[in-house]
Amino acid sequence: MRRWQRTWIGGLSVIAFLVIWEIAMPLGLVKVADISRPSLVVKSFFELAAEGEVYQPLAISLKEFVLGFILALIVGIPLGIVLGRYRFPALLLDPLLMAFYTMPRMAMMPLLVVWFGVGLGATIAVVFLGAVFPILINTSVGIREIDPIWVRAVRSFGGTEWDIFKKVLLPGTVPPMMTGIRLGVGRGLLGMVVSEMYASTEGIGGQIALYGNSFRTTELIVLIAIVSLLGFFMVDLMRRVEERVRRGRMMEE
Amino acid sequence: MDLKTLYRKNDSLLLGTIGLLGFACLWEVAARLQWADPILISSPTHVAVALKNWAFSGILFRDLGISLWELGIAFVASALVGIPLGVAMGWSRPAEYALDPFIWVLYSTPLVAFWPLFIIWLGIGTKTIIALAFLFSVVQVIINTMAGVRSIDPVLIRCARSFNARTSDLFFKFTLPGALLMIIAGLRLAVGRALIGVVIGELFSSNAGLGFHISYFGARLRFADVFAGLFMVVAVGICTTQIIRIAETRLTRWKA
Repeated sequence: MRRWQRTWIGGLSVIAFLVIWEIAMPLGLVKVADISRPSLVVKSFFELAAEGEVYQPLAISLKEFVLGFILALIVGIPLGIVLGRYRFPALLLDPLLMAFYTMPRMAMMPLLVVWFGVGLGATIAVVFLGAVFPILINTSVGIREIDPIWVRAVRSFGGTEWDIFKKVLLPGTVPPMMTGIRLGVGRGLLGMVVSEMYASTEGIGGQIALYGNSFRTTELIVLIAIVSLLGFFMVDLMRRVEERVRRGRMMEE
Repeated sequence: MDLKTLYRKNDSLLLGTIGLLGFACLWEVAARLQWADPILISSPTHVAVALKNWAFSGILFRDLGISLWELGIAFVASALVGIPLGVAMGWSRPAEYALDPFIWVLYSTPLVAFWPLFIIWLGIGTKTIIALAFLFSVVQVIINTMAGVRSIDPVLIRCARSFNARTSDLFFKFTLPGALLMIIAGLRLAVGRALIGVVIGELFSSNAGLGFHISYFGARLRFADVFAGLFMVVAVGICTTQIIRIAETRLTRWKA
């Protein structure tokens, strides 16, 4: 019952939004700004798709995103585990990591463009920098919150450091790690779009900058919608995985 | 007190300082010995000089002032808009269902994609930057406020109701104080997000502000100045977050 209500009220409000948007321009509800119309947006989506201006940039963007994100996983998870487990390196690196974490990493854009080159290199670097910190910090917090009794239990049965890692730390940190990965996906996508808009004409962000600069609102909205839906589905997927992991854990206990 | 207990008491402070200093030394040595091109990585001493020049020329305060002004307006606006919306969504189910799709799309979208649209609507200038920063932060405020209102124990509400509390009482004496903790946590996250919006906006197009400084000197390969800009951005981020954290402990002391 509740679920059904959520669907129809939500659906109704989205439809209402689209209708108001559709009639706002013809009725003169908006004075100067060009807000286009949903019908035009849908039409121009198919036109753009037919011209191949959607899939190819999307493929380039996704490639950059995936490469940067994998790099962030490779660095973030092991480092997070080490920093969660051992006090000494954690204390040593803590202020440095916090400074990086609070800094909007997109601000490093002008540096990254020169260091790694316009396009692929800089975008991968921004995605990596955006995603790695949430992953790293959530993983290490997860490790720190594991009850030390488990570690002591493995020790007293003669387990090695590797056993502790495999049987306690890794399984224990999965739910917070998933939260970090979900946040990382959002940050990574943001970095991807910023980088492409700032410095490259390739990819979906480059397309957005291109159409924005020529004031073609309808095409611009098509591209924004594509990026929005991409973000929405990716984050939603991550949230589902996260919930599944959490629920699986509760059933075990 | 011997050295060992002194170390044990302050080890986080001590090791943290060593970590920061070690990083700075490593950076300086790398630049001096040319492990990497000194033009590309600059060095701490050059950054310090750049920071000093920036401050003495008086431009630092202009840039800082403009960025803080944009940040402040965007932040206050997002609180003024976000908290009522969040309360409404937490208070009534239909309101939540109606706004839910928009909020979640905005939450997961790379919001910077809206930048060219804002330029078309508002023109280039501080207005556009404030709009972007507002969009970045308002979603966070709404989501946290809603979760805060939702998290209040329904037993308390029912108890108040059975003692004949009016809706206004219920609202001001139960809902708002109960949600306060989450709301402030949301504001703390929101100020960070607003800062991201301000910096990105200034990076893309502006003629003053911290982001402008970074972008201007970045294009001229004067990386010492770029690092000085980044340093100021970090400082602003830490200070604003810290201020809200202090307010947080003040306002929620009764809860502990």
